[in-house]
Amino acid sequence: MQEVTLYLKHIHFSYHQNNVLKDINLEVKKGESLGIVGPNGGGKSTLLKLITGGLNPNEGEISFGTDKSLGYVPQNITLNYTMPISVVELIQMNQTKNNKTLFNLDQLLNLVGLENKRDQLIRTLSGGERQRALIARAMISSPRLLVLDEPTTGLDSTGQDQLYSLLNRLKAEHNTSIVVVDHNLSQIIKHCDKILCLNRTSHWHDQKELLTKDVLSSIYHCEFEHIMIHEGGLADESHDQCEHGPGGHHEHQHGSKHEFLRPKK
Amino acid sequence: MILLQSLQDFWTYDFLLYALLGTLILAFLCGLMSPLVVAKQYAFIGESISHSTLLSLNLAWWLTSGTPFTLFLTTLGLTLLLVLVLAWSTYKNRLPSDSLIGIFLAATLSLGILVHFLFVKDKADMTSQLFGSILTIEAQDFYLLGVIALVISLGFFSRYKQWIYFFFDEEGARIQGIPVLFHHLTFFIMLTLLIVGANKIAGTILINAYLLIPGIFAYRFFRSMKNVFIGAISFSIGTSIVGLILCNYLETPPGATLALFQFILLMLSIAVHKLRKIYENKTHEPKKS
Repeated sequence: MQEVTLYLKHIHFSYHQNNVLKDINLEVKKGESLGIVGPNGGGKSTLLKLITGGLNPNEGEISFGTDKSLGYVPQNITLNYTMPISVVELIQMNQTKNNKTLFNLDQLLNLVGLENKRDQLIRTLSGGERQRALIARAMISSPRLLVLDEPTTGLDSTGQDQLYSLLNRLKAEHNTSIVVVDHNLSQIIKHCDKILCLNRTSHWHDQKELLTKDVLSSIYHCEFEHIMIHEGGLADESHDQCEHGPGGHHEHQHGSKHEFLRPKK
Repeated sequence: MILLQSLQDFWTYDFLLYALLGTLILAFLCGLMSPLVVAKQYAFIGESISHSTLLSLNLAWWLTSGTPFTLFLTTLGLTLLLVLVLAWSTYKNRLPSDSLIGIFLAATLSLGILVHFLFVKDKADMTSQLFGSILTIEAQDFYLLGVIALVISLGFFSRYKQWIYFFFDEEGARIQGIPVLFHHLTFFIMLTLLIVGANKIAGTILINAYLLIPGIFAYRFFRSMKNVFIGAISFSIGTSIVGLILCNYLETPPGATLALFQFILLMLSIAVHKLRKIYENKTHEPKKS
């Protein structure tokens, strides 16, 4: 049986007597990825804070398998770019004497494709390079669970693809479990094994193959157009006049498994 | 010749020597804290804490016997109490930090002036409270500053890596197990120690210049955090020595002379840097055939 890396059981969280999260149950196994999607204010960030330990649930239990080994990749807009921090210095921030790491610095830089930018300042990197540098920082302690907060914000489609292919590599080659919060539904559907759709007290969580248009509509409280989540499923290619979807990104790959979706006006 | 005589004065007169040594310690501390204040975008924090010092100092004059040591301890205690309220509120982030700091500044300044006007005006001079009086520094003030410098330096250098992490990425630092509330409060406590200790030299108005200009200078010219700290400390100490000699030579108010000298040097260095860039760009431009 596959080892569980993250386990959430009956999680309830309320703030000033407003229910933010209600009865969330999920587990993420070793080498598995969970994508968390939902509208703004739906509780995604709150759930992330509960997982990373920034908040405590009112009820329920959060456990991390054998030990809490967690790497965190923040939104890169929260970093302080006044400070001249180089790629190497950023990665070494998470290096402690107790780190039992699988990687040395050069291997990490190679892994994230920043071997030629080791001394470059973080503020001079592109958005995608910053995210990859932050992933390298999180990976230096070889965490069993990697948590990413909106990693595709501000990235173009190439940057997004590069980022998710790096995450897939970490999953496949290093058995790292991944939890990612993203507004970009298409990337989540394309790359994550499990999906949690979250909008305050209503949520849906299961394998991505079971995600339907109705589920998304009920969570987002709006209808979705142009959706083809999986083959033979919910194809509806009749609306080509669509604007960009919730992730601000529109993919249209005929015949592919996942097409993108957008809320109907 | 007159300038040389002015230099010799520092070795001849004890009060000038103490002024020089006290200023050097203050310059070192401001150089150390300045990059952190600038990075955190707490431009008004120095001003705010120093104005709460004005209130505490006047309360101390009113409530204690007025000996230097009791004045210092009471001022420090009261300021710490006020500043910790501010630190807690800014940590909670329920209101924008700059608004809170602004409100705090106005409230403590008004109260300080009222307490001075009602109870202290016959005992202490408001002008030296506001602008400092470097020439009244005595041996005990110098030793006190020395102890403060030791405490702040220990607090900073023993946790250098954690401080950098905390200022660069607070959320990441928290998840990495760094106690962010402890660092937030300690940062405010270190600033309070520095500002209360520096009150006699810099007063409550000009301390902000010493807390901002070295950091801005260093961020402009250095490309690693270690060099930023070294640059800010060197700039702060260098300008303080020259500024002090200048004010003794020109017979101008020390605090204002130092602050203005720092500002002029910052502007000059930025201008020279810009001109050099323009020159370099011109010399590297391909010549038109």
